[in-house]
Amino acid sequence: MPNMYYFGQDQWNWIIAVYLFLGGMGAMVMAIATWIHRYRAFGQDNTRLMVWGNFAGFAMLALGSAMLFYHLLDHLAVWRVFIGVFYKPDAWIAWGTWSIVLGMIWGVVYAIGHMETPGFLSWCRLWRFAKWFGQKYAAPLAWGTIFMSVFTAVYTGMLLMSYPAVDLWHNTGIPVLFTVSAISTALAFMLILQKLFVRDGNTALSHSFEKWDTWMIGIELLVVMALGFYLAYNAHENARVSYEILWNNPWWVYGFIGLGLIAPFVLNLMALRKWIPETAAVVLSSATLVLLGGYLLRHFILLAGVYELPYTQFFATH
Amino acid sequence: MAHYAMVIDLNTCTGCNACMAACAIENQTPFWDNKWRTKVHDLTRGDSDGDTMRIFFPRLCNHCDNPPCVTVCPTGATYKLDNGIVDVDDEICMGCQACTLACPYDERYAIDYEDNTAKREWYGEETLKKTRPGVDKCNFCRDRVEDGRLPACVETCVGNSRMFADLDDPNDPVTQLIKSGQAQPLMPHLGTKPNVYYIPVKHQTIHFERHEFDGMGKEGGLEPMGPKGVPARSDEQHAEAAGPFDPASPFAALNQA
Repeated sequence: MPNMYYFGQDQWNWIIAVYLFLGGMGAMVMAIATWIHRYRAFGQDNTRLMVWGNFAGFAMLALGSAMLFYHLLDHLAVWRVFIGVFYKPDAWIAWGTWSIVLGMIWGVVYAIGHMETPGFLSWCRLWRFAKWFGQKYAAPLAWGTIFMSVFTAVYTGMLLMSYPAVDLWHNTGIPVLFTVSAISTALAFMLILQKLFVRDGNTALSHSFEKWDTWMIGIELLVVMALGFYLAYNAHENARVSYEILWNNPWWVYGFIGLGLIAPFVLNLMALRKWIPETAAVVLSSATLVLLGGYLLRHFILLAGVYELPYTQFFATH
Repeated sequence: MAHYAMVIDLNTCTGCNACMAACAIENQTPFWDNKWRTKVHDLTRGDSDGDTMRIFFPRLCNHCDNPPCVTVCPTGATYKLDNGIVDVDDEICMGCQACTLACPYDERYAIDYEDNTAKREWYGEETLKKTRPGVDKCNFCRDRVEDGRLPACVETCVGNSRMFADLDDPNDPVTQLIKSGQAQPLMPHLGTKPNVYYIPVKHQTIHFERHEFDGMGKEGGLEPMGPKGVPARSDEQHAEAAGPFDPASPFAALNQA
């Protein structure tokens, strides 16, 4: 790669990687939790799992948003992002902020409408109103939560896709990869919730989560492979540099692809095919590895975004 | 309505960095933290003795007609004026830095609370132009241009390397230069339609007689560090070689002091 200059970016560091990770996963946790409750998946009442999922998703989205807020240069101007959609409808962050906030509120109100009021909150009028609202408008709240949550997961990828100078980001594979990863990590997190906290004994549901997670990891592996080919044989030098950064980094190869994708894929597949017992240890190990992979994906996709400066374009005319 | 653009002749840029200094003072940038609205890169081209050349490459915001920074800005702080200038409203910018990542030309930088504190000390509270943290960039010295003056970097350019143009004026000689195709934009394949054009460096070769080249640090028979085997001059020898100080020199008073 002679006569070409590159530079990476340090503006969007690990803080934004956490935001993208928690944003995608938290949103899809809310979507899945609400969906399995609404449709009474496998004929069971999944209220307890839905409540845990929606509150956990709320916490993840709140933490992720707090990370983004902390990263802002002017914290006092943050309110302007909410009115941005009215005159800047082409900016993904403006839409993403709304989808996160609305998804969080609707999901939690839906959960409150279907849970017992804790004793220490019996005095709270706001809680009583949310409970009434969540019961009366359960269907639109559920569908609103699912729509906004899926939108948020897609948005985390569309956001990076809107930067035209970096071929690693500016391609249609990134939104697909981030969405699939968000679904996969959300399913893994739901399995952790189910095994560690809810303990509802709904093996049909956990089996289904594992099956879908395996599919998602498989699709993610295909997309990552396609992304690798796209970068390695790209016409632009910056794409090939991104490829070298990623595929020469042991954390990407062994951490993300090896431990974060292949290992849980093999574990899940063996458990689903009954080659190994589908114990809690196996399920939790696999799910934890998926979460590790989910973060590493965002971290390294941000890290490996490379810009090129075409100085040499102007160095000589022959 | 005017549509402003800039042409930079890479053949005449001497790398004096006066444009950087003029811009920094005019626009009050935190240059002490290496944050500039315009930069001049000192580059070397060539990989053999015969074709090595030193090139100065000035950079600034390209004021694109299809600016990705404007598209991604969620608050509308970055906007494009009818006269082609892309500007940032620091009152609206929340500093998410999405525009910084969207810019293919690396022409934006962050101003944080510490920068603003230092700016108050450097430039004074009363005359401070931008007071809020956020993202900053070149705006073609919008205040000056709207006042009928040239951008500071253009006005101060000693080699006339920087030229300002109104693309809507067909009689503007700089516009005619752009229309002639001699000047090219950066990365046109990205579709950003930049409004800063560069006249490429003409092929130049440094000639010297090969047989006189005698190794590193010695070219054309000259020894940059002085002839070998001769001890270095003392301060007195230097003063004697320089001759008596000119009393008419403006530095004479300093010398006497």
